[in-house]
Amino acid sequence: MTLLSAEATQLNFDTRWQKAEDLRMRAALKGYEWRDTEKILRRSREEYTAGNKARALSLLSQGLAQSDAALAQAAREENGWKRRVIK
Amino acid sequence: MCLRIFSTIFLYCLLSGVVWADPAADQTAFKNYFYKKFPEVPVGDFINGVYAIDQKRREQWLEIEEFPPYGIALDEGEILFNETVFLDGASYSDCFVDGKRSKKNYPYFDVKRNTVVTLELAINDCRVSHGEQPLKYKKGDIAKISAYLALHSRGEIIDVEVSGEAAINAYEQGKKYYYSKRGQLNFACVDCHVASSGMRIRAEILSPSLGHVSNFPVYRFKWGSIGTLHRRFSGCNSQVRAKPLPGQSEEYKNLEYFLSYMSNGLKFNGPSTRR
Ligand code: HEC
Repeated sequence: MTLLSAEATQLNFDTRWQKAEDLRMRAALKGYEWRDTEKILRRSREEYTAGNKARALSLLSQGLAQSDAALAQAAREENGWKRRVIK
Repeated sequence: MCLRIFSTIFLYCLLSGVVWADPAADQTAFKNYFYKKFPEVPVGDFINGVYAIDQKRREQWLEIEEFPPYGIALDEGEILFNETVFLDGASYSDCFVDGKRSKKNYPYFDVKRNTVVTLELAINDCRVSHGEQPLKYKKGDIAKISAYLALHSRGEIIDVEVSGEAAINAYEQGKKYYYSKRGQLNFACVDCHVASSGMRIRAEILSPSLGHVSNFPVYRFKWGSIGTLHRRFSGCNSQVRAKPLPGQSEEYKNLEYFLSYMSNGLKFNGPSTRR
């Protein structure tokens, strides 16, 4: 790999990782963060630093998907909870 | 004319999504649900959690309670509460008008601070106002003090008041938390502790939510120590793979406020023992 493309990959990873992290924090602010997302993202970062790119990217996808799903859950529950109230 | 004003207001409320909160009606519906689901359980017995609905486990538990594993924590809590002298020479009794019988006064909504005050929060407020460091909220010394105070409010009636706009708002937040699905497994408190109460989940039997606050703090064999209600909330969040919140977070305090109000009329019987 040339130096340039290695840098590009790093940049790409950082951007995607930061996006996942931002989404996680948005879910947390709404009170809907999932238990393992932070850990998964942290491990993704560690694997990347250790040079295990494939594992890092796989973990990143998981973290991203979890953050997305947690935010979707928050949006659903904004009114969804009302249906469950004991009447 | 009158009619027009009225219908304008009505329409406004409808459009703006204003909900007429009615905690008293919520409470009646909540209780009636469990009375109907468990007609054989005497009303006052809901404070015993899963032991109100499972005879075999109840017998084991009653045996354990003869020499309760929280006994040591109680002794330590007594010493901590009565013998701690703060940096400025004050003690816990300067903060709690009812001394060791104070647990019955919590939780309540403090209008000036615009927040729910729980017993554990009050313990730390007391410390901080006298120049001490706050204690950790979920276990350790705070749970021991809380256990000692709980013991001296045994038999007192849970009587939480929810009135005024700000208090109702806190109550509504707690209610929303209780009924909202969260975590990777997408479960709400109501999913496990209402419709599924009495059912098995792995080695456990799910207890009804009614009475859920009465018995805290508890000694859990799983923990090997005594813990607060908010420690239990954390465990239940974690089970569904939702990130647990810090002890005494606004969310947990509001949840405690809501659940306590649902259990109004039942008796405090903490501390207790659970698996
Ligand atoms: C996946 C199912 C599940 C969900 C969802 C769940 N819990 Fe639990 N909870 C349990 C189990 C299992 C126990 C232990 C057995 C029992 O006492 O019900 C328990 C115990 C408790 C206890 C202790 C009862 C006692 O007698 O000491 C409290 C309080 C409690 N849960 C509150 C909550 C709250 C509040 C929520 C929502 C934030 C919640 N739970 C969500 C499964 C669940």
